[in-house]
Amino acid sequence: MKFSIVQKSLLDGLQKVSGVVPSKSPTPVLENILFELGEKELQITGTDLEVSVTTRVLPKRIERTGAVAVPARVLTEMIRSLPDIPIEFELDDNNRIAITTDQGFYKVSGISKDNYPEIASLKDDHTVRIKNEKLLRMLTKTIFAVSADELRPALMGVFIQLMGDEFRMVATDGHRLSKILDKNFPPIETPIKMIVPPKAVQIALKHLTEEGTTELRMDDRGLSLAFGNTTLFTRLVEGQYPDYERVIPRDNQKTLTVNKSLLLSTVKRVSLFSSALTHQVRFSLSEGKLAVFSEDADMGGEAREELGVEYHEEPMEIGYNAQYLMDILRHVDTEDAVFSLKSPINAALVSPAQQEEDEDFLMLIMPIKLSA
Amino acid sequence: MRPSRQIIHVDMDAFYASVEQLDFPEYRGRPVIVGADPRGGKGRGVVSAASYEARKYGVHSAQPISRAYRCCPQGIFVRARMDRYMEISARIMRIFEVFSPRVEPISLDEAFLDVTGTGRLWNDAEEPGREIKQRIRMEESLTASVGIGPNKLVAKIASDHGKPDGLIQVLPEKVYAFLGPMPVGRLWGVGKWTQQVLAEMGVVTVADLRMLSEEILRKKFGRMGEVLFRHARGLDETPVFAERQVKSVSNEHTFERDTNDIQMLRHTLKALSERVGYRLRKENFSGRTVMLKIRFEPFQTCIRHMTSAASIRGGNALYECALSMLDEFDLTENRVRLIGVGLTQLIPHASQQGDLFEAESEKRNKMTEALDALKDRFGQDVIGNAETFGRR
Repeated sequence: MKFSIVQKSLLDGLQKVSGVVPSKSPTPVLENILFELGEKELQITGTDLEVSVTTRVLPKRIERTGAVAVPARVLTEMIRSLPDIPIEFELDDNNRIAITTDQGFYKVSGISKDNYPEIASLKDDHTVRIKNEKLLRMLTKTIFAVSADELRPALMGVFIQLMGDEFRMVATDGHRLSKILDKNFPPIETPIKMIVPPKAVQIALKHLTEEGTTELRMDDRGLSLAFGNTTLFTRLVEGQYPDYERVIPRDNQKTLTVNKSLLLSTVKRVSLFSSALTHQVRFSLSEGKLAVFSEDADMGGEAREELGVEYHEEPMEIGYNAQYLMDILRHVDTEDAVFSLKSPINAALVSPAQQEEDEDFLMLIMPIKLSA
Repeated sequence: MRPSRQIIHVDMDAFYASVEQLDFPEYRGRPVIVGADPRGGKGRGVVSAASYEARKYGVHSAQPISRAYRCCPQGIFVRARMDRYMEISARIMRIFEVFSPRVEPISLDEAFLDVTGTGRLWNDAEEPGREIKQRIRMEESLTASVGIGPNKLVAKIASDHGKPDGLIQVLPEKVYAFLGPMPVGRLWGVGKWTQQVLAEMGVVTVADLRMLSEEILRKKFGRMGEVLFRHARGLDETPVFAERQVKSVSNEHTFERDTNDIQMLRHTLKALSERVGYRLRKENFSGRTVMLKIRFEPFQTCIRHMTSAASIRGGNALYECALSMLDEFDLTENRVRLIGVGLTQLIPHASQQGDLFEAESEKRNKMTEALDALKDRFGQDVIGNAETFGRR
């Protein structure tokens, strides 16, 4: 293998795959990045066996094709610190890679391609295409609610569902839930559902650009996303996603409309004085008024703020985890957020004051039961 | 300057052993040792409590039971009856609440009370101390030692100093003189290692410790050094937490014989989880971080933690979590001497984060409540899971 490439295009490729490369792995070979040089391009791959990213870059000149796995950290750090100059790579028979630039000469030991794991591939897959803008938006609006509970593994991912002309994403950890759907998706014949692990979502969010479209290919076990020169493959989370529709309340009659930014900053300030263990803030609702307060019995802190709101129901007190509440408010894009409430022990529905075209977006938050 | 606080520390004298002597008059005046079965000196496990008669023979709590047996073979060795101790403890804690709204129980037999500002009710702080002792004696026929001081550190050392059946008040201006001649080991956080290091520096008493500058202490002991510096001067600002600060609940079991029988380990884990679950419900706490403790022969102890997104309040969820951690241990080569399970980072169940998918588990909760009621009336062992029944 022998080629030369400019620093910028190589670094660009390395940065796309380095996010998935584990820095410490029980399988040390995974701490490497696989270089595969063909006649026209260099393919760069990183994997942690669950998620893999492959990207293609164009060398300036290719003299001899070949393949080798290179230690990811040292290579990325080194390339990052170089100026934008041509770099030459040459592999010898002992899997040692010589790197030459105007500035100097470096040598690093690689690992034979044969020892690098095979990247899983899809069988009997379906393909759909989605605008990057849409995909980015839907993933962003759900990933924050993904569970970290190892005891409910099915919740440890974003649930993606395609049926008819609806494209849905849902995430929940049991304390909050986010559901967003695109109601105007090119219809598909066979419904599809899958649970995508958060690591894959985070990597996609990092590298997707607003323009263009992404091709999603999937089978029972895996999903691949192809955008630009890059393909991301992920294994799917196994298990049955719970029946989330069942927990979305249909009879929350009490409406609270509140300026989202004002409430967000209020909750942020008030929560600084709440218990570090529960992050509990208390909503006290009355005609046209919302008081938010917190107290920390151990540390002796307390806070209270009042907001003018639209609320015309009987007074009510509800406790929430401030962290969950802020996560939810941050995803409301309209000026006002609308809460649909039932009682201090039932889930609240939170949605933007106006939905985007062809979209339905709602979030749920479970209260903290208040002690008398 | 802030007016000085008045803190009372109450410590029951040889609590478990005294309860045994109370319930079994034939034990009175004799050395009673509560803890594991000594099995003629071959038993394993430790002493939970020793009566004052037993202490004369050199028996003390946390000592290996085999050693205790060698010290005092004629002693009366009994197993702990935690339910009984908890019952009496609850009544004693209720006495404390009459004297102050700020009561911090430390364990079943020990609590801090902050009586600052209740001064107008009493002639002096010694009076509530005396009263507490008297009520415990009248109502429970047990003795307690009471220490009174301007902070928790001094109050605790004072109650310790007066044991048994003592009452010592240390006025703020007397703190310095009171602590001076004490061995440094009496201070909080001074364990064997610290004591040894200090001894090498020529420090034996608290007064000796005061000769060392804060800088020297910090260099030698890091942040702990600053604490030592303050404690040597009787300074301590830790508040009395009115809210009961139970941070974790756990239960463990030492096997008669080291084992790697997975069935046996699972059964034990199940039974321990049930016990922890019962206590969680009794004390009205829930938590999310499950702890599994395994001690392999000879003395390699492994502790694993796992965090669940849903709060745990019962033995089942605890068991499932602990089991998944147990399965990660390689037991083919290693035998287990001790296994324990617990829940940490507890929060009062009253302020509970709701769960969207909790409805399913409600039916089981009803059953658990019924089972707990039975356990309350007839003791822990009256009913259990078929799997673990008849085992401990």
